[in-house]
Amino acid sequence: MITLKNIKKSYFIGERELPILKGIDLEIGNGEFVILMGVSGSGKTTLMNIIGLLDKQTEGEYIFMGRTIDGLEDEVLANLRNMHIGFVFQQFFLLPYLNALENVLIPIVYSQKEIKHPRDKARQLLARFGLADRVHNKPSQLSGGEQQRVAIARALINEPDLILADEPTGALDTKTGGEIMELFRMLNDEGKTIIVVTHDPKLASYGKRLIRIEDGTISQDSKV
Amino acid sequence: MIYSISFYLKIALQNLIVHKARMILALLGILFAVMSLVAFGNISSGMKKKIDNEISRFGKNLVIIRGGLVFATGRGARQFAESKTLKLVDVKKIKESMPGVVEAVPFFDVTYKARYEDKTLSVSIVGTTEELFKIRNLNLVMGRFFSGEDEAKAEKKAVIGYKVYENLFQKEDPIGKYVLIYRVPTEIIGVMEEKGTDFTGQDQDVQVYIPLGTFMRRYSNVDYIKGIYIQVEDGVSLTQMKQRLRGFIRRIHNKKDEEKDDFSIFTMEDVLRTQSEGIRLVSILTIIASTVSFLIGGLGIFAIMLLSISERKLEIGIRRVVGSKKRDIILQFLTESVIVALIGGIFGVVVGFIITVIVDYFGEFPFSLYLGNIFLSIAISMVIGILAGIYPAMQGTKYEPVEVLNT
Repeated sequence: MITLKNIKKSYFIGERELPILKGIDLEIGNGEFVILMGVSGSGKTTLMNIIGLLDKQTEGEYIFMGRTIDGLEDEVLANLRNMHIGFVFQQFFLLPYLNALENVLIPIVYSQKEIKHPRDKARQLLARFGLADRVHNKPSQLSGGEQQRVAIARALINEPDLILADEPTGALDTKTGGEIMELFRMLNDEGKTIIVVTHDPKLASYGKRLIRIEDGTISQDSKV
Repeated sequence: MIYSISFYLKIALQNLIVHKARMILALLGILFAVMSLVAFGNISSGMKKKIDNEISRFGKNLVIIRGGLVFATGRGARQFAESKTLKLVDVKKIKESMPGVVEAVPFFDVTYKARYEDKTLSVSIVGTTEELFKIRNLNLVMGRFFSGEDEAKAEKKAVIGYKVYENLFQKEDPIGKYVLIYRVPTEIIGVMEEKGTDFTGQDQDVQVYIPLGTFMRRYSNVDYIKGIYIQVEDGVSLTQMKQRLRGFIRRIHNKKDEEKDDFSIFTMEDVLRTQSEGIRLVSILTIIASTVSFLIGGLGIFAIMLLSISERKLEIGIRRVVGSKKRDIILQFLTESVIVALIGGIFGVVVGFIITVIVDYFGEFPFSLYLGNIFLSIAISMVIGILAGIYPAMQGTKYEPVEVLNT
């Protein structure tokens, strides 16, 4: 599903080059559950942004679902994201004035796929995550764990192939964080490919594969 | 597509509700602009209706010729100089040789006292022919008009205005009774319906109509007339007819180029011109005022949209992440600015409508809705919404998700 060949990424501050990723080679197949671990500043978030088609590498080749990503238009990238990737963030990023159901439905607005009965589907997802009676609540009326589950439902509504989660438990207490990780494991058991980016070593045991990033390179890649 | 639009609408409305005070300020400019356009459109159309009513009450397609010098301005036609040169033969010539003239009716009017038993009343005596009743839309409440035969026989018969009937007869049946006019006993044969004051300032209800022949021979013994009512064919321009009549009468009066007219020609439009010009002046002022208001309203929406978009960076970021394209972002914010402008426009129509009702009530104008201005101002509101929203919406596409979400 994902093939990265010698991916490099640098930011330029004036004349000075600031390398973030220094040559990443990586292959992730369908149905994997990857924990991408690294300390802050290691380059793990930059790597996730590139994998998630939100950022472009300075050098190297990226093949996503058999397609070379280099030089694609913004619009094509937006469509690829919409169809194939579900995003989950540390801060949930729900829209405050929409209720849970409406938040889950946002990707449908931009969807190129024919999703049948999106509202019923959104309700089913929320019910499955234990939010059946929270459907009409605004994010401010939900707890952190509930908000994150709404965000995961939003990531799933468009039936993506890949779930990308950036520090999904970072804003939650340990117990709730554990529940969220269990949820990812359940989705993985159903066949979704999952990549969780984190700095928290306690999450390592939830995945099936652990990749450690240090100073812009892969320092460890092992089965769990 | 329909789903996206309804979604954008929903978000737009929700944002409006969240930021009530701000949005109301933003749409006030549009509201005032639309309000003044709509109120003015309605009120001026009511005023025009009133003027048209007065004109049709007076008689359709009429040109009035009066001997001497008459100024037809403002409220009424004022006589400045008399002339005795207008004759019955002029009427005949006009009727025979002027194309476009349907009817030419001579009249002689003078104010005099009428007496019945011990009651007297100052009345306006009008000597004229039976055609006058037709072209001036005069109707009776009792009796009959005089006829060509009365005219030919110089019968001393009169049709009286409603106030004359009320004051002299006090509900007594006047038909067949005799009133003294110029000390001549005159038989009452009809009573006119109540008409009020016409736009020339003449109270129609104190008129006493007498056959012209009778009047000229038996009452005042004059050989000239005071004026002529000319009814023009439908579709013939009254202004042109005035010019042609002026040339024609100058010719039959043998006027040399350097000589002044010994008569005046005017139409009801001339008399009501001051009012029409007033409406036109106010309409120019309204257009200026509402243009300025639209500009201010547009700037208000522009500023609020810029603010709103910089506050909603995160929202833009998250939309981009889940697959929204730049044009989706533009479409969404345009929907919002158009909605704000439209709400301003709709409230403007409502307030303008209320103002119309109030002004019409106190100004005693007939109520009239001028739909043209309503549609126009709603359309302008939409255009303003688009123009004011386009730059802020473009700004919104500059926020890249990576930058917004990682801070």
